[in-house]
This record gives sequence, C-alpha cells and structure tokens, in this order.
Amino acid sequence: MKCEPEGLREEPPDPESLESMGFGFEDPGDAWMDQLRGAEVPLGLGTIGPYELLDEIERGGQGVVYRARQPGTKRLIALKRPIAGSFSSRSTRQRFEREIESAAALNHPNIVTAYGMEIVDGTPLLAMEWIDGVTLTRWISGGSPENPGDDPEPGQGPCRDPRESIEVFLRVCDAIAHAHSRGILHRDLKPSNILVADDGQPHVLDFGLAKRLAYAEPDAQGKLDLTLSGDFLGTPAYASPEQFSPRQTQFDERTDIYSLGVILYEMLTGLSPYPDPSNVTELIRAVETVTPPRLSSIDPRLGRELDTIVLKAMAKTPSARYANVDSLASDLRRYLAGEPISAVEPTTWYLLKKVVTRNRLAFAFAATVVLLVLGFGLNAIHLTDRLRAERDDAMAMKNQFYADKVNITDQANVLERLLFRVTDTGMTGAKDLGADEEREFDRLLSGLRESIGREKAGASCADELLGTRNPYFDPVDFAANREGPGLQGPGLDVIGP
Amino acid sequence: MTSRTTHLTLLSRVRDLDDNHSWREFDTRYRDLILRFCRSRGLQQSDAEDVRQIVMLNLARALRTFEYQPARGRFRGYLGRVVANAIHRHFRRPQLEQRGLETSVTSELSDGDPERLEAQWDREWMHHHYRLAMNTVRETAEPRSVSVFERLLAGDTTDQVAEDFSMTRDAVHKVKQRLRNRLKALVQEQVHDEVRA
Repeated sequence: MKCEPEGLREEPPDPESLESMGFGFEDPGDAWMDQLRGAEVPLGLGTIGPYELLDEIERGGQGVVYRARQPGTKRLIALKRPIAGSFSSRSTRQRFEREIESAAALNHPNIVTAYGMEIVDGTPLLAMEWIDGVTLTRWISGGSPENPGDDPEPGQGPCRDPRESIEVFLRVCDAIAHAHSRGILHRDLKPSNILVADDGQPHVLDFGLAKRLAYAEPDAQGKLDLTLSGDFLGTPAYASPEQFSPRQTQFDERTDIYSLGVILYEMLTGLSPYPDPSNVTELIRAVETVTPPRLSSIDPRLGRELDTIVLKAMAKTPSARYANVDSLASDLRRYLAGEPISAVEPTTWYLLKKVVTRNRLAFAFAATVVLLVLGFGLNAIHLTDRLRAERDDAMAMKNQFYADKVNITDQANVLERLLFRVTDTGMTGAKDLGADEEREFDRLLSGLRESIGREKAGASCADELLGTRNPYFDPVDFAANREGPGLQGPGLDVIGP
Repeated sequence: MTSRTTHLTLLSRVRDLDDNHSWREFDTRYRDLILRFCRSRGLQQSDAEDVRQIVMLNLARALRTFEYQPARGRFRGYLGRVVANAIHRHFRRPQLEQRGLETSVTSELSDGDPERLEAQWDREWMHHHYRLAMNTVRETAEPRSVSVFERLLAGDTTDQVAEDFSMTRDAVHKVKQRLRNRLKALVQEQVHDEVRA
C-alpha cells in the first residue's frame, strides 16, 4: 500500500456541504447574492386557459381564488379553481354548476355576480365579479381594503361600533332575503363568504352549496316552499344543529337564519359563540346542546334586546327561530329605531320603557317642564308663607307704632300742661320746679325721647317691610299715618335736644 | 435550535396521516418549490396545481416509510423524483390527452433531458432554501440592517447605501457580511434538517 504523507492527501468533498450543493456562499464576488436575487424573482402565475392570473387571493380547503383579467374585455374578475383541479370530483363540478345556476337567478347589489363557469383543460373554473374588499372576518377586526390587517386572534374583541355592524349585517339580510324569495337557500353562510367593500357594502358570495328548489313555486298565498332535505354540507362553526342531524332533516330558510345568527354574534362580540370551534367533535356537541353566553355578558353595551334577537336566530330548534329573514331584519331595525322588538314579550313596563327611550328628547323636555313648574309652585308657596309672615310682622309693628304715637301724644299733652304751668307761675326754667315736679318732668322728657326714637326706627322698618317689599301693602296708607300731626307739632320742636 | 427541532418534528410528524396540522405546514413549506419547478418546466398554473396535488398524495403514502439512506440519495433528490414522476403521470392522464397537445410538447414537459431536469430541480431547490432563510432573516434580524441589505440586494452600490443611511462604507460592508453569515447558517440548518429527516 502506498503511503501518502499527512496533509498532502486531498480531502474528498463533503457531499452534504453547501458548497458542493452549489449555494455559492464561498464563491468569489457576490455569487451568493445573485443566487438570492434569482430565488426572489416573483413567481409569474401565467395564465389558466384564456385568463391572465394576476394574484393569488385566497387558498382554502376547497379552492384557490385568483385575481385575474378576462381576455377581450380586460375586465378584472375573481377566478375560482377547485383545489383538486382536474382531479375534481363530480360533486365539485356540480357545486360549481349550482353556483352558476343560483347566480343566474339572483340579481342583488349585495350578492357577488357569477359571470360563468367553464371547463379548462379538465378543470372547472368559475368567473365572478371582482370586489375590492376584505372578508367580513377581517372587517370585524377593523380591516379595510387599504389596510386589510391580519386575521383576528381568537378572543380579540371587535373594533366596530355595534350600530355599524348591525347596519352592515342588515344588508346581508337583504341579500339573503332576496335569495330566499327566489327559492334559493345559501346553506354555507359564514364571514369568509362575505366581502365588505371600501364603501361598507357587504357582498355575499359562494352560492356553491346553494340549493335551487325546482318545486319552489309560490303557493296560493304567494309564499315559497323552501323546504328540502339533504346530507350535511357547509362549515361546522356556522352550521345549524339540524345540519348535523343523522336523520334526513328538512331544511328551510331557518337554516340560513341560524348561520346569520352566528355571524351577527361574532360581528357584535368578536367571539365565536362556542368554545374551541377548531375541535369539530366538541363543536358539534356544543352546537347541539350548549346555549352560547349572552352577548351582554361579553359587552354590556349590547343589552338584553340584542341577546334576545341573536339567541332567537340561533335557537336549537328551527321552530323557535325567526320564521324568515325579514322578521329577523325587522327586529334589528326596530332595535336600532328604539322601538319594541317582536322577540320580547310586550309587557306594559317594556312598552313604556321603549316609548320613553324612543322619544328620549321629547320626554326629557317634558320632564324639564314638569320639574320647572313644580319648582315654581313650591317656590311660590314658600314665598307666600314668607310674605304672610312678613306682613304679620309689619302689621304688628304698625300697631306698635300707633300705640307709641298715642303714648307720645299723651306724654306731649302732659308736658304741654307742665310748660303752661311753669309759664303761669312765672318760673323761668325747670330748675324752679319742685323736686317731685322736676322728676316728673325728667321722666316725661326721657319717655318722650324713647318713644320718638322707637317711632322713628319703627317707621323706617315698617317702610322697608311694607312699603317696598310687600305687594299686598298699600304704602300710601302707611305714609298718611306716618305724617300724623302728633309728630310734627311745634311742642316737640321745643323739647328737641 | 428551535427551528431545527420544529423542522425535524415536522418531517417526522407528516408520517402520521392523521396529523393534519403537520400536513398543512408541510404543504405550505414545499408548495412554492413544487409550483415553481412545474412552472419552470413550462406547465400552466393549473397543471402545476394538479401536479402539486399528486405529489402530496404520493408523499402521504411514501413518507410513512421514508427513511434516510445515503445510498438512495437525499430528501432533495427523493422529492425531485416524486415531482418529476407526478409531472410525467399528469400528462399521461387520458382526459389531458384529449387536449390535443402535440405529443412532443407533453413529452418535453413531462420528461425532457434527465440531466437538465435534475439541474433544474437542484436550482429550484437551492432557491427554495434561500427564500426560506431570507424570510427568517426578515422576520428576526434588526430592521435597519435588513433595510440596508434590501438596498444592496436591489442593486444599489455600497457608497449609495452608506450615504443614504449615514453610515461608513465599512459599516455597510459589515452588515452585508453579517447577514451573509446568518443566511448561510440558516440554509445549513435547513438542509441539515432535511438530511436528518
């Protein structure tokens, strides 16, 4: 055996090294960047049949939806291709055909128009109206065509105002009511089958499970018989209990109403009505047996009436649900208008409450007027009492005034007599009086001064009370009394200080 | 480390046919590679989708017993053969023969020169790993470094990028080298995971 010196033997290349695979990280220059650039060249979608594919919009369990351009018209369309492509089963093709049949019977601004179905290279393709919008799932969490956002996380509350959500939902109801009026049940209503355009208009799509009833002819009363029987079809999280029933169950409009109820529940709360909708077995059990939590327990703004409306739409048995979509929509419109809803027992208290709520402004005005009248009344009573008391005080003062005036007159008369006596006896002043007469003179003079002082104060006070503040008092009379001669007599001037 | 463990688990888990989650993850990871290879072979998007469908069905069966045997080649070569066979079978389906395509056209699409076919697959497979690694870099690297690198990748010169980001040329060069090393490590890890699967 020939022995080669250590270090000179050439190592065989590692078949698993990146270099041997050609990644080029160690190549001179920036070969690796060229590789990366080549790797990131967008994958051209090319064409499917005559259609130029622009973007892949959605890839679900059933199909892939592309934004595509129609040849000739250059019109943008949504092109749907079943996921199984040319391996599509007969039922898939039938589903596409049904969608076209349904679309042909429907003409509503809130239903996506299906242009046509064709088989291209063995694969059924469905061409539909292109709506520049987001799915209702994303719209609920605040997404818009400009800012679609991510799919909402479970448990993440809605960002939309309840009224805005209800108004969008009502348009969905209009679309479904239109389909029902044409004898078509959707049977697979769910948020991802509703696109909301940037003008807020919802568009219902995917009538692939829709059933057009050949015998859906109006009866004598003009009503359509929409009943049909069938196996389970649809999406478990939005399917009604009867859709899971192993028995041949009769489906009618109320099957769609149940799905609408689940959709409205999610629109208002941002939550699925049942826990863990990804576990299908558990979900079916819940749909059949569990009453969902009331909406008002999740968001108190929603109130008991919305609890009643949504849970009635989601009733386990069809007979307990709204009979048709119009009834559901009418109740929601009544709720928005503040009117009594049909789903609630019309008690007097409930009706009164609704009348008050509906005419909140008028009632607020009326209540204000009543309160003002009551306030004025009470104030008037209080004022009357006060005036009466003041009048009594004034009258008492007036009487005291007259009594004082009489007293002053008497005292003045006595004083006058005393003065005459002094004059008659030739006395020149009070110092010539006897001791008893001098005391009497001083007493009278002091009493007279006191009475005059009280009279002046009383007159002033009475004037204030009666003359200016009491409308029931005649100030003229008081003035006349106050101007009495006893106060203005010449004798009084003599004895002034 | 997490990435390696997850990926190893993924390729192990897809052997369980009931593990839908792993299958979805597997489909998401390799869908783009299969579709791009088909498109590079001249297949229409619709045919590429059909082939992808066949590949997944075949893998569902085969991966249950797949074991890495160096003598039989790597997962890369194995997947390439599955895809090539699926293309071949797709154009042999009776309903497609009714399309009226020239036999030579379908033959070229489905068979072609084996060496060229293998080179084409190897290139798509490398690009696939570059894309996966670059996605990880975009998600995990420092955003400013990613922005600098994106500009270089778009063809801007080091001087232009240095001026626009108020950096020195040396700093721009270091960002590029750092992300190159990161990409290389990620690709190494991804390839290693496939080999060990």
